[in-house]
Amino acid sequence: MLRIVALFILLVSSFKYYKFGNILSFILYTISLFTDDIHVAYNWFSINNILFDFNIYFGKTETLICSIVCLLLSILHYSANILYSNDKYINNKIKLLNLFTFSMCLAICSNNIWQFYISIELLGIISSVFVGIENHNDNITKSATTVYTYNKFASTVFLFGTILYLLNNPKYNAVSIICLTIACLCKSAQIPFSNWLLKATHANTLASILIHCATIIGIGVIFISKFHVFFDEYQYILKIILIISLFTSIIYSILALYKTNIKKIIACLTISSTGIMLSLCALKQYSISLNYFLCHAFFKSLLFLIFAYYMEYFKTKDIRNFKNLKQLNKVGLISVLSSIGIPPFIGSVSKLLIGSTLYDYSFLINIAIEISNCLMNIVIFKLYLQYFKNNKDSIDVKFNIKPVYVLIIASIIYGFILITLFDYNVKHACISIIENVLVILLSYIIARKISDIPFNKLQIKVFKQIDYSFIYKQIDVLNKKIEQFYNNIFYNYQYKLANNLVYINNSQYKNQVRHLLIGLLIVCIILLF
Amino acid sequence: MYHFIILIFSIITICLFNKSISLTYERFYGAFSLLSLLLIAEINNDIICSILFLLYLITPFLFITKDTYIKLYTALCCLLLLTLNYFLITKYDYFITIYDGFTKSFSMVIPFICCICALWIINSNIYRVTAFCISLVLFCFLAIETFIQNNIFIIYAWMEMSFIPMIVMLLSYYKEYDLKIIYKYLFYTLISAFFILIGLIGIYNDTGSVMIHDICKKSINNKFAMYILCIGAAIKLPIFPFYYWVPYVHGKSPGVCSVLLSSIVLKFSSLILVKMISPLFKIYSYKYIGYLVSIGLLVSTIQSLYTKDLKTIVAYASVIHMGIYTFILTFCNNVKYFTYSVLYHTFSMALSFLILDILKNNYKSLNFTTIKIKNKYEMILLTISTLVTIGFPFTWGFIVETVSILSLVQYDIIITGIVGLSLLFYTSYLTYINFYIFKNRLIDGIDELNILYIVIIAIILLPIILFGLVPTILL
Repeated sequence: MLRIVALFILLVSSFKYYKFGNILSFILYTISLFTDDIHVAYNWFSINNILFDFNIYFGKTETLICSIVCLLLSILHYSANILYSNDKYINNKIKLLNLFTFSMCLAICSNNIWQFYISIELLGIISSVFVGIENHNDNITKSATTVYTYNKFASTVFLFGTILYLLNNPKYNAVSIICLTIACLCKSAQIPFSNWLLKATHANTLASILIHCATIIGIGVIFISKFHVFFDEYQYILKIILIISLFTSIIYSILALYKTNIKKIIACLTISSTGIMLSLCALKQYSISLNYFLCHAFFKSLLFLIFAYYMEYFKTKDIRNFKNLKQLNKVGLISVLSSIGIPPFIGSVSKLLIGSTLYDYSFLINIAIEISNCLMNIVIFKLYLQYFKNNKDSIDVKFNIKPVYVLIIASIIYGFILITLFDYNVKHACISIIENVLVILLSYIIARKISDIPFNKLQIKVFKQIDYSFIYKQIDVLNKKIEQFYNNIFYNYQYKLANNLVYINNSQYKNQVRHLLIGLLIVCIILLF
Repeated sequence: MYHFIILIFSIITICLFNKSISLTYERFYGAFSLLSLLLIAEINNDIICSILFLLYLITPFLFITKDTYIKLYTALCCLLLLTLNYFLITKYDYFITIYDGFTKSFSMVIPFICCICALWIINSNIYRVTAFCISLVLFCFLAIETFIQNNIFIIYAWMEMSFIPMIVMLLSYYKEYDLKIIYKYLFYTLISAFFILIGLIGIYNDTGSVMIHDICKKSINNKFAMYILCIGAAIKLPIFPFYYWVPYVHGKSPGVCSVLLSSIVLKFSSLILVKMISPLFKIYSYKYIGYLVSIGLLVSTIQSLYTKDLKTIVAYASVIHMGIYTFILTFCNNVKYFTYSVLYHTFSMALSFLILDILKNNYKSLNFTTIKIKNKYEMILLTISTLVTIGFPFTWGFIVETVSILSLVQYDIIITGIVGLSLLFYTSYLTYINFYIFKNRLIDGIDELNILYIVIIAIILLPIILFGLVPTILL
């Protein structure tokens, strides 16, 4: 029952008493890790004999995820008091964050798709509000609308899928699963729906941390691993998810190299990590995927939180204006080590488990995942070499970095908890460690080579040898051909029509054709009636 | 029972407006009310009864001099109609011949909305107050009568008569009225009335009966009459390609008039659909209307993306909503869900138009690119109206969206896709507008709002949240 109380506390704290809501719910979730599972059901309403009900189920996994989400939220609240004490609206933003966490917990504990749909809709609206609330120019307004549109699209498709599934008609089953898959891919920002997460970087940094690391991005992963029974019959859908997610993870880890906005760099990294999570889901390794999701939440929020100090000090998101801040060097090193997966930090847990499980799968999948890992490591090393290393320009300022320490300690503790929950083959694990070390070495060497080049100029240096002007020429030629083709069809058609009708002047025939079309439309309408 | 209520009402009226009414008029009114009560008790003819009752309601307008008292009295009249309806529906079967959910709910909702409108205008300046208030009471009465009748020609007569007070209201709101609105409104309603009349005559010729429950039992062979009736309903509803007048008239009409137009006048068409066409059309396919509506939905959504006036955008949203709800009735033939959705439409449109009325009073222009909101509460209200219209989870609109998509999916997946697409477009546009206005707001402004406005909006918001949280009350 404690878990239901915690859910209720989160809901209340999004309107009032926001200061203690998050920490209290974290404590309640942590205590209830040692109690039995609970299952609560409530019939909301029914239409055409289809029952729409609330069905809450809290097992061990659900409670663990909820506790981690609440922990991250309370750390963010703690850091908000330090970082954004001057912000007039920070309390309202914290309340919104609480509502966000509530809807996330509602999604995690949902035992039916209908409840999952409600939480998805809520999450979509709130995430767009996070972007829209930071309103300074037209660009942000458009970004907020983009975020809303993508999320609304996902939730509408999800609603179609849900209703088709609830109709319990075997004719619609395949369509419903396809709809649910599209919604999951859209929510998890996979290609071709990944644009919204980059737009969501306009949100407040704290909201970004929560969006990127622990909440909305993992919705697809949570859905597929929770309701994997739906996907068991449709192997081809899982294969499509695998291909899309691996492709996304590689493409976005490359894209991260060319961005100059720090938030966008981290967003790209997040998208590629989510790709790996979804590919693990597609390989039916649901628990490993969830484990990676939790570990990722910790190390990504650590990286983000450190850069939040940078953004707050330099008052910009552009990475070219950053300089080394002396006090954050050690913490930055820890975050880098955690991200690339070096023990005893939390990233190593997921890397170890992924390596040991992927041993049984085909070589191609292994290679694809290692490539994307390598590319992500390059970006992180590059960040380390440019900003977390002492040099002549480094600035000596004193910050209050207690929240970062709290996050590091929590991540180490949760790492130990997570490693004890899973079984793994020791031989496979050893091989995976060797593999991982090789990947890290390779990525470090590459990162050293390109460390001097600024992020935006990388593209020019790498592709200097290739002459790709011929591609542009080809595109131009193609465009012209299409235009000619279109013109031929369109104008010839008009000439023929005009000649067949009456002999009219050249200037008048266009008008005549327009009248004819309108007349045809009216006739069509009358015929329809 | 209702005699007693009317008596109490007349006593309240005399006591409340004691200062405004002179002694002779007071005596006259007392005597008149007693006489009319006696007559109503004696006469069993519906029409004479209702005319007497109307006279009884309208006489105090001739004596009361103060503007605020007139407005208050209007609200009181609507409240009386509401309570009377409630008792008549639950206890008696006096003049309600068709006793179904649709009639019951709308005969309650119409006086409720009129009452709210009468309260709302207390703070706004109306040029010809007496004319406006008399026509509001008349309109309320006629609209209720339209919904509770059984004879198709009497329904038609009440419905067409209700346009006269509506036009008087449009004329008397401002000193300089826009004649173009009235021309457009008159033109389209007269055309639809013409079509409906022909259709009704055709049905009467075919079946030989004017009572709806008789007609429902018989099979109808006159296809032409029904198609004509459909066109008449389509102009009123509005359905593609006859909807162009609605955004213009609803968008440009002054203040409370747009509330009445969108939340009551549009529902007459749903009445025609439910009571006249739906029972007759069970035999035939509805596919033509369905495809037309789906095309119209997309066209109107795309059109709404190019408009910048907030009221017109809300009017377009109302068109889109009505189109979707028509699907529920036409495809699934489910009057219950249709009623549930249309009731939501009534409340949500009333809410949006009332909130926009506050903005119009303060900022003159409602172009969202130029409007700069000074007041914090106005921004909050605008956001609330947006959230209600886009169907925030746990509100009425959310359940309605689910119900409509559930009904549609069973029938045709392609049409469901089109509906989903138009929903996506216009909800995105509404959120864009909200973010845009939020960006342009002036931060250090006045932070106060009239308490009456807040109370009225809370009263409308209450059912929207209640029926979203506990939909089993109506479903």
